[in-house]
Order: sequence, then structure tokens, then C-alpha cells
Amino acid sequence: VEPGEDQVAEVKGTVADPFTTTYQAEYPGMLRLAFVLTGNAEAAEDVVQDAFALLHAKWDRVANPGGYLRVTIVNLCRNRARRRQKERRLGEQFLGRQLSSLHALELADVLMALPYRQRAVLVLRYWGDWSEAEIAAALHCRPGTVKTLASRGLASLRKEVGE
Amino acid sequence: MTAKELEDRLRATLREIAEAAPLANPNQPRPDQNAATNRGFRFDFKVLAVIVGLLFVITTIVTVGLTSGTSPSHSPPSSTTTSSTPTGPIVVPNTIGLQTAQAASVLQSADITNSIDNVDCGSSIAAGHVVGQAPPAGSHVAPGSRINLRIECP
Repeated sequence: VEPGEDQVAEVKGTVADPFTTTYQAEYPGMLRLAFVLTGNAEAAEDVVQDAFALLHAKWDRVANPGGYLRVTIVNLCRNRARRRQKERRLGEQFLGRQLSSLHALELADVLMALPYRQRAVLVLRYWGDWSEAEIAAALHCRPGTVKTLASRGLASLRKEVGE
Repeated sequence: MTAKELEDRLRATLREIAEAAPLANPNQPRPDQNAATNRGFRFDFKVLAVIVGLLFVITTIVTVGLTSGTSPSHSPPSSTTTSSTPTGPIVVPNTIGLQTAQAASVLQSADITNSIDNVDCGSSIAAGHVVGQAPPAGSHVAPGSRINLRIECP
């Protein structure tokens, strides 16, 4: 991508280009998504930055920036979960300071300890309200697998916190 | 616990985690309209609280100076002027996609220093160009603040 002169002009504060507009509109929602998936503030910010950088590089070819960002974030968080096991613990510490109710904290601990795909399915289904097909597409698996992952995740939650 | 109860509890927990996302710091980009009422209000409230606090401190100093009556003319005003050095917030420009040197000069002209904190490989941005920045474009920072840039490796 060649940074054009128009971009430099925009930086100096006259016109908001579509990318910047998208950035400002989508950033909070995308950060929340990444944060729920990773449980880690720093990781979430990194992932969202990377997703916007990828979007910027493909800007002319991406028809639906919001959809592209969502799927990219789900996958970047997955790569990150694979690479860094120890973040789980950092995430728990961070959440421990943030969450008010003991009820939520208990469940959040179990949630962050789940394998990434199980956690992602639960997050996307119960927080993001994604359809099964959308989740399957983002995670590169069959819709049947989404069902399996969801029921496994729920079973783990029930085992740990259910009375 | 029924399946429904577990799902409801999971929903509530996820909402609470999402609320705890690190958007509450003043370095966030502020979205223009809708859905941001909550945070916008909190931000404004903080600014208001700081202003009220400053006014209170200033009036206290002035009244204490006047009522003690020792030196109403000189010392109290000078102390108040030094205490309130205004640091107007700077809006962070976007540098993603720019060349490193270009990004540095853009930031410099906005009174922001930059540091290259790490190097990324494998994104589809050309080598030597900025891949990411923190805090992001549109954030508000104090003059002379430091921005971390991530650069695509050669």
C-alpha cells in the first residue's frame, strides 16, 4: 500500500477518509469482542490494531469492513491463544480487578480456562448473537462442530459452577 | 441449575466482561454518535470534577490569603498561576500505512514523540511502513506523549 499525499493531508486535520470513519465507529465494539475473547486488555488492543492494519491493506477489496474485522479478530485471537498459554493467568488477574460480582468472576475464570474454540463459540453465540453459520465460517469448521463445541463448553461451565 | 439459568448467567457474565474492556481510559477514540452515551457521560463527568476541584483549590488559596491578611497583594496569585499549567489534549493522528520517517514527522508536527516498540512480519503492509500504533488514531493525549509504532519488517 502506498501512503498517498491525501492521507497526509487528512492527518493534518481536514477531511475524514472512510477508513478513519470506519476505525472510529468500529473500534469500541471490536475492542470489546477481542477483550471478551482474550480476557486480556493488552492482547485485545494489539489484536484490534492488527485487524485494522490488515483491513487497511485490503481496503479496496473488502466489501463489508465490519464483517471482515469481526472474523479477523476471532482468528487473530485464536492464533494468540495458541501461542501464549500464560496470558490466561494474566487475563484472570486483570478480570479479577475489573469484575464486580463474585458470581461473574467465578464464571469468567472458568470461561477463560476453556480451550479457545469452545470459548469463542460461547462468546459469539451468547454475547455476539452470531448465527451458527457465521460462527462456523469464522472458525473454519462445520456447523455441527459449532454445536459440539458449544455443548462441551457449557458442560465445563456447569461442572465448575453448577450447584 | 437449568440449561436456561446457566445460559442467562453466561450472558450476564459476558456482558460484564465486555463492559470491563479497556475503553474507559481517556486515550480511547471517541465514537461520534449512538451507543457511546454511557462512556461519554463518564468522561465529561471526570473533566467536570477536575475543573470543580481546581476551582475549589484556587478559591481556598485566595480566601485563605485574603482572610489571613498578611500579604493580599503578591504571593497567593503567583502560586495559583504556577499550579495551573494548561495541557490541552492532542488528537493522535493516524500513521498506519505511512513510511516510518513520514509517520515520525507527522507525529512530531503534532507534538508527539514516537518509539518503535516492535517489528511485525507477515502483514500485507509494505516493508518499513507502520502496521499499528498505540494509542490509536483519534485518541487524546498530553503534549509530548509517546506513541508506540509497529513497523513491518523488511
